[in-house]
Amino acid sequence: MLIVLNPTKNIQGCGFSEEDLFPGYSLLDIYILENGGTDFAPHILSFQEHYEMDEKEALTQVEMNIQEWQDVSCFYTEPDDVAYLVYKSSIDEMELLRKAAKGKGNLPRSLKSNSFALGIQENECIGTIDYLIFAKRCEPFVVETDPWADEDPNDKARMQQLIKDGKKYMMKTDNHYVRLRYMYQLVRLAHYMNDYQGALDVLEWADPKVDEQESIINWWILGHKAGCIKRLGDQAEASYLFSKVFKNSPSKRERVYRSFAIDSDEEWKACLLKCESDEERSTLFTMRAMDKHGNILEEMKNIYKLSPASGDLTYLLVKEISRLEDTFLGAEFRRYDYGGKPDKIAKERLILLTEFVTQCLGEGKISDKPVWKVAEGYLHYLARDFYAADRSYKQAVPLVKNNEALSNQLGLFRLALKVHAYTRVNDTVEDEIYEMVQSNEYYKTHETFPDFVFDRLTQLYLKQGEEGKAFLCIYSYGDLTYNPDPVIINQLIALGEKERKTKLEEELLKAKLGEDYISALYELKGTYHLSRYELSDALRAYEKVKTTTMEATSFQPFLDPGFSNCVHCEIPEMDTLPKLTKTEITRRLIDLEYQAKTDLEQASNYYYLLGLATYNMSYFGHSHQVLDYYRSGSSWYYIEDLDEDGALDFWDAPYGNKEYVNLERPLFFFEKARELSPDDEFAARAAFMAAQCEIRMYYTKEDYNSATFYPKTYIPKLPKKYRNYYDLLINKYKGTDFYSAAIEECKYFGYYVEQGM
Amino acid sequence: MRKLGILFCVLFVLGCARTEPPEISFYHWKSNWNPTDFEYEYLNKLSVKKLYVRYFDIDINNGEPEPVGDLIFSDSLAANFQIIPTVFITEKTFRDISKEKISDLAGKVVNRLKSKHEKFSSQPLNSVQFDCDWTLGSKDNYFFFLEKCKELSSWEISSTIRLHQVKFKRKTGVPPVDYGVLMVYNTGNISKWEEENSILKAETVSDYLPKKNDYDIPLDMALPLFSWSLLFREGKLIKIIRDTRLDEFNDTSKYIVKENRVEVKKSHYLKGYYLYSGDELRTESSDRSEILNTVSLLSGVFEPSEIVYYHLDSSTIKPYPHAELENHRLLFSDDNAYRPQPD
Repeated sequence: MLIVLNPTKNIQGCGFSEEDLFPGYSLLDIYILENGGTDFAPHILSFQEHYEMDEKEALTQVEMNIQEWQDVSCFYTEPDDVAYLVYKSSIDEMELLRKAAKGKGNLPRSLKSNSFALGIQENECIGTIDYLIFAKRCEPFVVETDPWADEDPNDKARMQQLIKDGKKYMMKTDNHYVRLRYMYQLVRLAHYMNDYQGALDVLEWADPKVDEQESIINWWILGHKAGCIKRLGDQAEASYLFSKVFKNSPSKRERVYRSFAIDSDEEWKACLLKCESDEERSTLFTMRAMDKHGNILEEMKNIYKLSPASGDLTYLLVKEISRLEDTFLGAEFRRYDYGGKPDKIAKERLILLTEFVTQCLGEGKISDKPVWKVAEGYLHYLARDFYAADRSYKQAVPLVKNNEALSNQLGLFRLALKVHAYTRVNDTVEDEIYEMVQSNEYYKTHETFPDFVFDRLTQLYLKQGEEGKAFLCIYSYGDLTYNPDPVIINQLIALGEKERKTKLEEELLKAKLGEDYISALYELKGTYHLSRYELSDALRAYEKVKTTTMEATSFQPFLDPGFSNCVHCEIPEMDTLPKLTKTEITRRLIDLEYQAKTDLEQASNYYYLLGLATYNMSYFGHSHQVLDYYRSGSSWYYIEDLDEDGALDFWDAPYGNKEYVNLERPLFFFEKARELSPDDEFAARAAFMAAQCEIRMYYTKEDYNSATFYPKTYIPKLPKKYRNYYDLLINKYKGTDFYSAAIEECKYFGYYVEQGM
Repeated sequence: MRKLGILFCVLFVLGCARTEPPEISFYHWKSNWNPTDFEYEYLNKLSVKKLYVRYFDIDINNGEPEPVGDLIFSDSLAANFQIIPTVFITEKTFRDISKEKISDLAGKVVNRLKSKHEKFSSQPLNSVQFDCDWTLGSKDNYFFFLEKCKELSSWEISSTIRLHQVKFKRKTGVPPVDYGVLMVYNTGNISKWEEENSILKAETVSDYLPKKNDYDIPLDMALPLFSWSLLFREGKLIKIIRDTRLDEFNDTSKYIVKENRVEVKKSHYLKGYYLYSGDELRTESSDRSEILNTVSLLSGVFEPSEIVYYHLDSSTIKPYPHAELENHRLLFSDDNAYRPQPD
């Protein structure tokens, strides 16, 4: 069974997006709120944090609108059918429905099996059809279309005409529900044409003509009324009305929250005075508490004074716990230091909230005691008082037994406490973790709990000096290839070769490194040594890798790139020359080293080949994949930020991404080749390759930041210390054919010669 | 021959001498175009001929770039100023966007600018500016956008440039525009409580300046005149309360003031934001001596043709006598006769 872990990223380097950020873990289920808190739950975590709020709210509005049409219809109708008629059908289709309802035609094909249309037709609801047609005529003026479209100067006149028509149609129907809907359309039209006083006048005109009735439309109308009053300058009144819509209309909550505004203490007082009950006053404090940075505890205390049984208190409690959770949950072991460590202020906030919760539980006036009791336990846990947490959890058990969501929440909290309370990971703990992963429902169904568990294990493993196992908790093979760490590799090899492993160990090795983890690890080890030119160690490691694994990738680092010297340059011979495995490459390098020292006549050739191989396996060469599992082009922009190990911070790499930019070794080999060569042509070639090393070494140094360039080119003026070999070519090898070819083929060298360097 | 040499030297010196001091312009960044008489008078005293007026912003909404924050024209654009419509574009607009979408966006922006300008101005539209703090991840796309706008309009196009984009131009690139306006403000770490003044510190500016101007396009300068208060709650910056100055915190029943730091004693509303007891504010303004010192530094490196001040608003410009701004522009010329000392 594969252990499921979230491969989360750190935040350094370019190219990351918000989705890549480690999201942290949360054990809090906001749906423990009454009625699942479905209408309020999304708002608990703050509107500003939910980028999809508008879409969700739009969906909620649509759903509630459809539900209401179904409720007011005197016949059964399917929600999809209502949706089609209300939102998708055209005016032409509605006109045909109208004719059919009057017995003067047939239903259009698109409506023949539409239960809403059939019901309307059967019951001859002409007034409803007329209203729906009118609403569709209004739509282009009230529904956002293309944000780039220019305002049509004739829009206002058309909207004015629609208002006139709407008033007439409204009075034609005896159906007061339909009249209410007309009222909504009229006030909305006036609002959107910026005739705010006109909108209020329309409401004043229409209101006595519509019977009072329960409907979501009342809140939608009130929202528009509030918007107009705000534009006319009475912010206190507007905010009071917005608060009423906020409390009663889930489908408009986000919108009215955004419109709710108080500029001064006087306005706040004026707004409070308009409230007709403590419940209404509480809502104002709730709205203030909903600010992303609101002081929730202070507002909860205000609400508690006014209305201790207010359900808003529980919503706010859950919201505040959610914020504290971000800071405190797993603070000492969560990966990437997400959220930072809790500071003195946060700790004080946690203590004060816990005290308040305990006080409220003691006074017995709150309405959701089971939730508050569970919350109290969780707050104790976040404060690391495990004893108090356990005590509260035990007290909560009988309170939650009839509430499945809350019972599950409590179960998860208790499991988290158990995991957090481990002080060491031994075989017994590993077996417990393995069982939990296999069969515990909370573990299997909770999105972030696995991260929590394995981050905690990581911390414990690191404390115990088991870096290899700590690595496996969070990362996998690919993460190690960016910058192979010998300590981790060796520990993992030792683990892999251990005779008796726990089930968790075996599972981690296979899940994170693959079935043949031994070969994978030795391949990494060999490459690590090869990158450090520790050829014997590299060969020893490669020889333990399965042949099939080795043969899966092969390269040709000894191929002379000639003047096609760039990472992605096409070299025709690459396709025809036989490729070598890493084992073969290593053996060849060992042989060449020996031959270069013992066969003096051919030594320059051998050194040249060594130079080619070490150059081509570097960041700059065509066979960089021999050493580098992930070469990043964008590293180029940060090349001077390489640490002493040659690694750069990289968003996907826990230990950075190592780039093999050090060309001292190939430079040494090319110089030896040049020095020992009896043939000037060959020496010139070696000098040229050495020059390639020098210029690339210049690029990687801080000196390059102050480089100047030849006018209208990207060719840098080389400081003297980086052009020894170009100078040598010019001064010593001018007479060679190679020199002439180099001027022709190498743009930079040709330019340097032309410019006289 | 010697006389020729002397003549050459004289010509050389004359050719290298600064000539005219830069013009003064202003940014208009408010959401409503409705300048007051005071503002017009201030502009006239400084012989301002050009205004950079923010017409709208562009941001990503539901995954698509959309115009937001349209300027409301409560008055028509004054005919005696050259109006340079300016568009602020969020950096994230140019991350992960295809070339096709960029071309489409450029077309929409050009059309929108044309249409708004035609509606509210009697002058032809010849020049626009884009303001985007591009990064390595958005550079190519932003530059492509600029090229497309140029292609579609043939307008003179300018872009705002930040200090770090001049210092690290090799990495950050140089936008393909006719000229840039170097925004010499927001030099500090705004979100660090210990920061003295994040709006402008000459010392910080000097860290970014090259020894001589080798930027690939002409650069004008933008300088700050604004003030704000930064609201910190539980040690974190949570809000910028614009256009507030220290003298607004004189009520000792609500505040404790220590230099430019304010502690809130009593929870209350301030300019539409609710402050809780225990909140802290750091008030910052565009310090006049820092501006002067900055101008001195800049004048040693750059020869701008204009200085653009941010921004045109009565309460913002009132603390700055127009003569002071006049001095700034003179510092960029060789007119050493008038170099006022900082306060």
